[in-house]
Amino acid sequence: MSPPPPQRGRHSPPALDDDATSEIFLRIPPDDPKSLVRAAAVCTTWRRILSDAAFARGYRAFHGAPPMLGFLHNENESHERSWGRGRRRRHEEYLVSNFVSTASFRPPACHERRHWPSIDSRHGLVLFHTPKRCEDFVICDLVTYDRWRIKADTACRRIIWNGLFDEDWGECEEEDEDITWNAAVLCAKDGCDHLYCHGGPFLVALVGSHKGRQITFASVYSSATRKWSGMISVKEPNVIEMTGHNAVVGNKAYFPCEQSDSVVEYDMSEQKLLVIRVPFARLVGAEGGLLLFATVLKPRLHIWSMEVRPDRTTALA
Amino acid sequence: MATREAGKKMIMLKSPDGMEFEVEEAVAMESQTIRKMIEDDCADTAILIPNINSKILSRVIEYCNKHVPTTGATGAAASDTVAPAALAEDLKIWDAEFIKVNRATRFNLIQAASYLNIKGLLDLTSQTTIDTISDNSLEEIRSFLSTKNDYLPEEEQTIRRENQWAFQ
Repeated sequence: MSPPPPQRGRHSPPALDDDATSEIFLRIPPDDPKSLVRAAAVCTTWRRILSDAAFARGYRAFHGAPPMLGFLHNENESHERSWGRGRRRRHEEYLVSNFVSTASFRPPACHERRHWPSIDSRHGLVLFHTPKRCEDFVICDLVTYDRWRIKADTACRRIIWNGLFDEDWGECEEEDEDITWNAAVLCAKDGCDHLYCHGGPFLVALVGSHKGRQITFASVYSSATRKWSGMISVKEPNVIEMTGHNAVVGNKAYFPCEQSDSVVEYDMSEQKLLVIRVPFARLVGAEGGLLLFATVLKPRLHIWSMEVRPDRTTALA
Repeated sequence: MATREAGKKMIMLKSPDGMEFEVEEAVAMESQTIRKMIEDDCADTAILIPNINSKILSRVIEYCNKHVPTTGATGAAASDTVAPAALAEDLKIWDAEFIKVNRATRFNLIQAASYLNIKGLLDLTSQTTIDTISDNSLEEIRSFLSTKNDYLPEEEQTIRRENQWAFQ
C-alpha cells in the first residue's frame, strides 16, 4: 500500500509524480551508487521507485555500459603460527584479496579477505578461489552480496588438488609445480548485453594443464544446471598462466600460457580446446568481440587486437 | 506571442488556465510527447497541455525555442554560420541563466519536462536535486524536497546498517 502524500507547507515545492521523480534518479551519475542508496533511504516512495526492475533497466539504458566502480587485487601476506601437537612453528603464507574503490562504492563483501584470492571478475561477478573452505570457489555479486559456493569438477579436482591436502588441516602441503590452472566467470543469460546481469545465470570455465602428463584440460560449470560439463582434455604441453588475465568472447574463454606465444581457447558450447598462436604480448582482455594484447618493447607500448573468426582463423590488427 | 512565419507550420498549445501559445511545429516537437501526438495525427487544431499552467508552459516554450536545432531564439539561422563549439557554449550560458529560478518553479519545470518528455530540460532542471542527494544528510534531503520520512525508525536503522558505506 502506498503511503499518504506528505503535507505540504505554503513554501514547499510542488510534489513530483513518480515519472518525474524517476527521471531525476535516472540522472544520478552511474559512478555514484552512494546517491542511489541514500535516495532509497529518504522515504518508502523513493525506495519503491528505485528498487523497481523497470527503473534498473531504464537506468542502464540511459547510461550505457556500467562504469568501473573499483578493482580487486591480491596481496601476499604471511605470519608465524604455532600448531600441531609438537607446537611446530610454521611460516604461513596466504593471499588476501582487496577491493580498491574508484567510485563511491564500498562493498563489504571483499574487504581484506584472507585465503580468498580473486581469480577473475566479469559481468558484475567475482570468482574467488577458496581452498581453505569446503568448496573450491565462491562466486560473489558485489552489489547484491549474493554468493554461490561450488566445488570444482571431480576429474579436474583430482588432477589439481588430489594428494595435495593435509587431511587434518585442509591445507596444501606443497604445490605440484607441474600443475597450473586458471578460471573465468561470465554471465550466461541468453542474448544479454551485460548492462544488467544481476541475478542471472552464470558459467565458470576452468582450464588447467599438467606439464608432466602433457595435457591441457577444461570443464565448465553452469549455475542453471548446478553441474560441471565433465572434463575434456587434449594432449598439449601447455603451461596455463596462474595469474594471467583471461578473456571471454561469446562462448569462448581464452587463457594465456606461461612464457610462450600461445593462448588456450576453450569453446564452452562446442566443448573444444584449441591452442592459438599470438604475438609475443600479454592478453589484456576483450572488447567488442576482439582479443586485446599489449606489450612494452624497449620504451614503446605496442597494442594489438585480434579478431576471432568462426572458421578459427585469426586476424591481427 | 509567436507570429506566423511564411512556410513554417504552426501548432497551437493551450494551457489549462486558458492561455494559447502558437509555436512552430519544429519547436513543439522538441517535446517527444507532442511529437508523438503530431506524428499520430492527434493534433489537428489546438493541443491542450494538462496540468502545466501558462507561466510554466511559456518558460518551456522559451527553452524549446532556444534549443530547436536549426533556429536560434531570434529566429535567425544559426547552424551554418556559427561554429558548433561556440553554439554549444552559448547554449550553456543561456541554460545557466534560464535555470536561475526559485525552487517551486524548478519543480514545476521538472514535472512539465517529464510529462512533455524533453530530455535536455530534464537534464538541466534535475541537476540541483541530484547535487542535494549527493551532498547532504537524509534529513537535509527531506527538508529540501519537503519529503516526509515514512520509514519506521527501526526500518531506517536497518537500511543504514546494511549500507553503511553509503552513509559515511
